[in-house]
Amino acid sequence: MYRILICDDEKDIVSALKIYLQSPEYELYTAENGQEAVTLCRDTAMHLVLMDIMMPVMDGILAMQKIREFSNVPIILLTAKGEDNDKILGLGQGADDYITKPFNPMEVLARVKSCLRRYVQLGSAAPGKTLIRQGGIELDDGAKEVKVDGEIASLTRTEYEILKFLMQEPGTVFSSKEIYTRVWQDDPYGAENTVAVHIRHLREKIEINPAEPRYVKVVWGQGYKFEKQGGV
Amino acid sequence: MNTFRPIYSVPVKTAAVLLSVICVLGACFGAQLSLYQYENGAGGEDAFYLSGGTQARVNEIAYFVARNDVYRMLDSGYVSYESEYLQKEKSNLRFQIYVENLENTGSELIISNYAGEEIGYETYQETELWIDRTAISRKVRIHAYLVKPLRADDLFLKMQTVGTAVSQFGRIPLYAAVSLALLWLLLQVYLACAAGHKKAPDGSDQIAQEGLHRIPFDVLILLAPFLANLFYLIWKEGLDGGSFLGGFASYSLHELYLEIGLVSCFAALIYLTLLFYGMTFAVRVKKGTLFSKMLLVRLFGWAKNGMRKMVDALPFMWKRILLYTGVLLLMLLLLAEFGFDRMFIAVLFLLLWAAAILMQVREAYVRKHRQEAVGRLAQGDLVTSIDIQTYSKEDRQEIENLSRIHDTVSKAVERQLSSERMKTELITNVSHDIKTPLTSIINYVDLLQKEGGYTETQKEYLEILNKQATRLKKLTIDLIEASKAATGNIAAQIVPLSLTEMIRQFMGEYAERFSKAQLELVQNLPDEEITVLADGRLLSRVLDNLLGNALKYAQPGTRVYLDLSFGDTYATIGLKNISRDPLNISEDELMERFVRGERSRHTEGSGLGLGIAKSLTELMGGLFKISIDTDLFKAYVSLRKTEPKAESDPVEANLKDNT
Repeated sequence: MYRILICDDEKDIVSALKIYLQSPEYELYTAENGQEAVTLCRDTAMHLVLMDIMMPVMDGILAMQKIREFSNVPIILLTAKGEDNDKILGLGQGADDYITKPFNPMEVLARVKSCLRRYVQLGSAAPGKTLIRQGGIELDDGAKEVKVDGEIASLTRTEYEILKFLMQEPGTVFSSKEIYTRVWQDDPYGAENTVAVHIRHLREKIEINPAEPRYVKVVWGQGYKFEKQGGV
Repeated sequence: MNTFRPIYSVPVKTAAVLLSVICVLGACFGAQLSLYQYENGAGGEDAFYLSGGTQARVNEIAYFVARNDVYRMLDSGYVSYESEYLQKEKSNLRFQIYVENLENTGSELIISNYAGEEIGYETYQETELWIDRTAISRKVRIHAYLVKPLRADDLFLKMQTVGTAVSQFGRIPLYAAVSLALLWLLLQVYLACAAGHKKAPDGSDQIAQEGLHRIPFDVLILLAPFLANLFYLIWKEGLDGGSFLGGFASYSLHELYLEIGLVSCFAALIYLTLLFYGMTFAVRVKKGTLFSKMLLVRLFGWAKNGMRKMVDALPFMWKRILLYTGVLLLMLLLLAEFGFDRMFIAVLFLLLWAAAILMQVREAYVRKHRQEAVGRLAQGDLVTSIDIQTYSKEDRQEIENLSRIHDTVSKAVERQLSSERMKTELITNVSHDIKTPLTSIINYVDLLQKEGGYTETQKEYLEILNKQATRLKKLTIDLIEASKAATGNIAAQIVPLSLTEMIRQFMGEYAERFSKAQLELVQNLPDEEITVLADGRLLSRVLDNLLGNALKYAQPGTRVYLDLSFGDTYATIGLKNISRDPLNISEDELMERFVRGERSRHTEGSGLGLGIAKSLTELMGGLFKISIDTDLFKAYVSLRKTEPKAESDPVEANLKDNT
């Protein structure tokens, strides 16, 4: 039973989220502003907080800072501010994920699940020589297996190789040509497009929202990289 | 504007001038004939003898005889009657010539061919002649007579014949002359009126001052004496100083006509000259340029202008003028004091030279400083950062003025920017406010759809709600983006990136979606890697919009071409597709926000895509162009390549050059 706090000043949105998250696994709490959320978190140990940014009394960012003083509960920000700056600010202030309004209910569900799994299963398996972990992605080179938030993702061999290559040096940008040369062990001779197609498929399998990838990112005009994940 | 009157047209004017010339010729001719008649008494013997022409001729011959025959006689001592004027049968003239004796006591008759005939005219002349041998002048008295009636066939008889013939014309020449003169006068009035009128291209009437009329009037006035002199020369040399006038000395009708004809032509020539002067005067008066276009007036104007400029510049120049004048005076004084001692002068010149060099150096230093200051101003530095105390008063003023201009401009720019920012902010805030209720709508529609037990119609309605809500969501997002992109409120992080890689990435991202939409995406890449300066995120938005458009609007079953070409400074991505709907719209209209092909709004999308793409491209310093060729839609995104030709900031370059 996971305790989830939903915090938004829009009652309709809170109700809708409650309906979507209705599940025997989840116990739902609600708050109308940041102040209430902080109080609730103090009183009850939460497993996850969904928090709006723009709220009366105390806004989401401040509430998050307050909560972070005593808890490292995962916080997903709900924001109407779809700007990159706000996302960066939110993540910098200790948010684990963010969802932009108007959101897709399915995406919210997926992100909630992913966050919970990461939080709860943290440290379940120790990274070793054959195990690479970045965020919710676990790549076991021994078993040739990739787990996304604990669930096995069925990757093709090429997809797996690409992911492995990128994950070995997270944060580094590789061009299509480099990826091709390394993964296919061959000269591309104009076959670089294949890389893009495979990466797209890979993203569809491991990302919650492939259009806004969290792990495998496109660096336009330069190549691809596996985004280095924070301390989690 | 008055319309042009055909009576002022060139052919009519030319005809009038020709007619005027004919009038002058005719009037002159007639006037001379009647003058001849008047002088010769319109025929008849008495008239002939009384006529000035006759008398002048007699006097002339008498003088001639005295000069030649009498002189020769006195010189040689005998009288010869060989001269035709002294032969009775050959001449109608009779002479009695007296010469004073050497003692001055009286005179003696030395020549006489007069025998008491009846005379019509007599004349008396006295002259003094110098005789070589005696070296004494002697008075000669001449009595000349013209017999009446004329007997001998000499020039007087011929003159009489001509006179009689002319007198037969009666008053006709006079009347002709007067009427032609009147006609001429009328023509002059017409010409004065017509002068300068010209048909403008639009058919209206205008006063034109062209050709010779452009010669300044005072130049023409200066020219007049020369022309007058020229005419005088013609008159004197060509027309024998007026002896032709009236043809009084004519011995035949032909000769008479020739002589008075020549005079008439001369008059016509003068008339034409005067006509030009008159007409050009009229043109100038009409145009109002008689005085203003005069060379003198203009020269005066230029001189005045130049003077004013000098006076204006005086505050800037007076120091230097004073200085140089002072140095000159000093040198003159020293020269006067010490004389032209060579060594001293050399030293003096060296000193002055050094002083001049020092001054130039200082000047250059100040100029350099000022230029730097202006350069800094241009880059946005205010005058406070410039040590203006080192400059002269004029320079300081200049810099202060520049900084004031800078202030004004930057204030205006700031105001403009803040207003743009406010607009963007307004749009962004409103859009955010829309987003929250929209979230609820989307979610509850979704929840409703999850409930079961609907009729088909209800399901359809829910589907419409869902679709429109989703569209509204996209619109809101696009609206924010468009407003930001258009106002440049997005910071572009320009870095070198590979367009080739970018297109490959896009091919990978889009290939499947295109094949799902039954479109074939064809890429056309050059062999080499093309690197441009752009912001990858923004450029991906541009390409996203373009490919998204192609997905939405291309005719299924066709190919969509994605090309990459490059020149010296720019590389260009070209996208070509065939539109599904007719593109009955212009490129500009298509680019306008909220407009889509076929003016329809039935498909998804906000209609902002192309506008955003254009704004974002321009934000990256690129060029965005679309073209429509019937159903073929083409879009081009040009971006600056890395390693462009060295084009540094001109201000900076200038500063560098001068340091």
